[in-house]
Amino acid sequence: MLRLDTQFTIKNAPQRRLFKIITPQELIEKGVATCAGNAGFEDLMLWLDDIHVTNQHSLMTLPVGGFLLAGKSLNANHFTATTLSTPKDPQVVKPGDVISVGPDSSMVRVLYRRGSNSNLLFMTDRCNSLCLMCSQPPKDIDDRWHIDENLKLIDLIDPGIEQLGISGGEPTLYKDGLLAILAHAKSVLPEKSLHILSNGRLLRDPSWIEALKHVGHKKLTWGIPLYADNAADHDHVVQAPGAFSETMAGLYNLHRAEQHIEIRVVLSKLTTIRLPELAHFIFRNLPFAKHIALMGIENTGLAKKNYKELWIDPADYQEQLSLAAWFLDIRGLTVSIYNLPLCVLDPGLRSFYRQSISDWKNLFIEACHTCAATEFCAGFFKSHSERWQSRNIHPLSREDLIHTQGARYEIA
Amino acid sequence: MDSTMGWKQTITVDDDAYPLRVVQRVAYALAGNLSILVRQDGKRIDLEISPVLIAGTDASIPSLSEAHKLVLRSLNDFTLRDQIQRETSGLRELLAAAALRGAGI
Amino acid sequence: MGSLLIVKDAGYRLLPFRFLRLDDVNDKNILLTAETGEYLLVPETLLNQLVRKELDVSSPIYKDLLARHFIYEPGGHNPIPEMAAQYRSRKGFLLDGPALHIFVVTLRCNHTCQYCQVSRAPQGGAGHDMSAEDARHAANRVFESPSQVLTIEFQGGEPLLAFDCIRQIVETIEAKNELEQRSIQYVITSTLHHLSDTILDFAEQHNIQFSTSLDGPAFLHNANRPTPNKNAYERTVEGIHRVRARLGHDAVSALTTLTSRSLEHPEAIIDEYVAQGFNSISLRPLSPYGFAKSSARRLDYSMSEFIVFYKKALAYLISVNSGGTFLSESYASLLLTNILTPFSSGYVDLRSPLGAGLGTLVYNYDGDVYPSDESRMLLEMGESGLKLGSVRQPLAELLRSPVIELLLTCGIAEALPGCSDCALVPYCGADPIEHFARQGDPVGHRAFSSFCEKNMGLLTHMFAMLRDGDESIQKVLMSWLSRRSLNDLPSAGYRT
Repeated sequence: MLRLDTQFTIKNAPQRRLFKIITPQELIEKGVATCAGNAGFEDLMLWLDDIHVTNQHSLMTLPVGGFLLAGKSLNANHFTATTLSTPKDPQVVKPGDVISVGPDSSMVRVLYRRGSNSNLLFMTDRCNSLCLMCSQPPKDIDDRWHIDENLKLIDLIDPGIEQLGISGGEPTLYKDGLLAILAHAKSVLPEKSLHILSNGRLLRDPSWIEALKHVGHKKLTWGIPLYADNAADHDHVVQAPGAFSETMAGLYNLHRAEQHIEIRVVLSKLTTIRLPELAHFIFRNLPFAKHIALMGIENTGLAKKNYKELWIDPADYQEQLSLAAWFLDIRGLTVSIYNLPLCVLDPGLRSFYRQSISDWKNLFIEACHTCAATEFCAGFFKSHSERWQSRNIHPLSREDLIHTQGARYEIA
Repeated sequence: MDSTMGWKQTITVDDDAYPLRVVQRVAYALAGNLSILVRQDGKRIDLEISPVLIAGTDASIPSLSEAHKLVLRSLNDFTLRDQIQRETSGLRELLAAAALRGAGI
Repeated sequence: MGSLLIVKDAGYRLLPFRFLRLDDVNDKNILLTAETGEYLLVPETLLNQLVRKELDVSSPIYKDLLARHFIYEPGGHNPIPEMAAQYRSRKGFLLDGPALHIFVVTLRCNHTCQYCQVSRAPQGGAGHDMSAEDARHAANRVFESPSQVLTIEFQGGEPLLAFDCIRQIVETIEAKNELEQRSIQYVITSTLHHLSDTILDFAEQHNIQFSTSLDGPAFLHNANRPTPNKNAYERTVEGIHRVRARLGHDAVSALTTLTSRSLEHPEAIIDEYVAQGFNSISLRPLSPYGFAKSSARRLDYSMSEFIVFYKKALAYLISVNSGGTFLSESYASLLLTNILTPFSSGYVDLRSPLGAGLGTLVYNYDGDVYPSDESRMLLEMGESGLKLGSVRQPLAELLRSPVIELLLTCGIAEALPGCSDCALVPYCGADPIEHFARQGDPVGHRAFSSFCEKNMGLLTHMFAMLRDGDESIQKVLMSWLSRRSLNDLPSAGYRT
């Protein structure tokens, strides 16, 4: 729900660069060790609040890269250091975050948010597919600069256990950059698990096998979508002829490279009709998949204009969902259901439910006010609208939840 | 005791419609129930059929009409199998080769 | 009439597949099986349309046939890589080498079972025990197999009568495994009449499991297995309790051997297994070896009689499971694995290429090596032709024996007459040794083969159950496939 950017008054920012926001307390206690990797004082931006108003002058002589004046009583004038002040939304940037600041715009982007459950390394806006429900419509630009930004970002984020996503667009489009990022993450943040979202098509090139084995990242999972058990239906969803064959080839290469694989399916009218058959196909041909993620559709990006082809009330596909999920579960594959409100889910499927949707995306609606399950429910996408709403939305009572077999709190 | 026990019948087919290799497979497959003597004379193939009773099983002896149906159905089934085999010849070997290659052999 | 598209040229082509007529009960009476082992049950009209290239390409069944590798689209997706992956997975055992190593440590036994497949030697005297020297050599043979997972099974006679030999073998293998680091499971097949604390201590120390014979309730078991005190059942049950008390409930498993008397009591046999708290039962028919063959009349029954019994027992067993007791039938479970998964069941007696020699080796008490238990039993009937060699020869040499050559020629079902056309071949196997024993010919004639009769009978029965069984039957079958209790199976899931 909290956005990832906001405007600031920016002073003395000669070029675009990243900063790690740090409080004076943390600076004293840890210094650059607040960051996981190789960071210098110039990478730090000191967070000053109203409580620091009496010491503002001396604090601002510290040899850090910049200052963020969060307190209203602080004075931004007469300083030559990079200074951020008067945020439009003061909740957006907080200590521990890593931000991108530049002279070209007053918008400050949060690239890493401390405590978030969905930090990710954004690789590119480019993509080689054009899925009907694409939530991040591609742009045909050269945005290789993301690679260096991500390498620097890895150095500045908090150490510690968490999951980092890597996505885009299509991350494998910058092959060497992606491999460099994986290697750097392994070296600087080996404790963090990485989750790459990719269509897998370019992985049909066998040179990826050795390259990935060489990097040898032990906590890496590839989330690869497969939308049908046949080429015609899959290629139609991703609007790219030959994509099914390429993705299958990519999946086998990933397996040869000893990678962990998750198969993802966005649930739409096009994919739910043969969902049990897809489950059968996955089990027979891709039994090495560590995890199968079945996901409610997000009404954003290209999905909006493809409503007619995509929209199906989740109430109308619960049977297919159940047949597919149990089929896989019985055969030993791990299944999770994401991005659906708990009330529309067949109660028998609750053991597969994960309370997902990134914390910056989900909300609840009026009907949810009296619901006993909001603590466990994924809620709705921020982009949610009435025509994408199930007829079965209703508040659940404590009674309804009593026989639920642990809807686990876990992030996608 | 079945009054039709001890019957004999001959089914004649054309080699073009049911080649010898198909007829031989039929004879093999039905050997548990029927004794089928196969004689070829040019394009004409005769199947001389009589019932067989294997000691120790409780399979009943097929009647003449049951046997007739069974043989005709088997002829058609094995012809279908023959067609599938001809259309797909080489693919089994291709698959086995691909499987072995992938296993690093 | 609808949108029937006739695609003759550019449309689709056939991939190799087989078909079988199941029965006339249901209109979906044709079983189609692909080279991958995937299957579909279809009406006869569809089979004809399929081969004549008259399928409607927009129909769901067209997509099913494509996805399950019965057809492909030239110029479209190339299915060979994924088919090869399935094939490799089903036949993966080939690359492992022998994983089951059977040590016949002695022929001594205190029973005089009429169907015994071993010539029995008297209890006292070690004249029929494996020598220490031979045991040492055999342990070396074990590690010459590349398999990462090994099962060491002790048989006899009654192996516990030669416990010192067992001890020596386990200790030798454990010592070598310090370096080798394979995953090894030890099993002793025993009547459990000769247990001692020493034996149980040792078993606990090395995580050894026991396998015993329990033919059914006392009257049946004792009739089948005469002992001097006529108390085989009582002592075996006492042994089961003793093993469980010491090593845990699942440390002992049991199997039945069925005589014609047994065939009259399917429910009683199953009730006995329930009463004894087993979670699996193995309803095995008599084999044509050893004493069973010569004492034929009183014990023998036809395979079709066995199949009638088996179907009755299975139906009763399923109802017992539905009532909340988990008790799986082992053969049904492995057939389900073969039918429903792309993995091999691991069962050496039902695989192609054959399991004998390639998957199993038997080290006999006299230092000779055989490709399977059954081939050793043929020895007892005067037929030594299947010996591979001596335990002193390296494994590579043993596996180059002309016996292996012969077995391989007759041991690939996909190449055998009868089997090569059979739709069930992906789920079945080749057993040239049984065919040699019963028909005198390792190839065997399928129409007269009881191996074929049994497997066809049971496999077609499983397919009929998968097709026709209601949700409660499906759930029991799924509980066996996944080895889970019905409580963890609120739904049987998609059935194909």
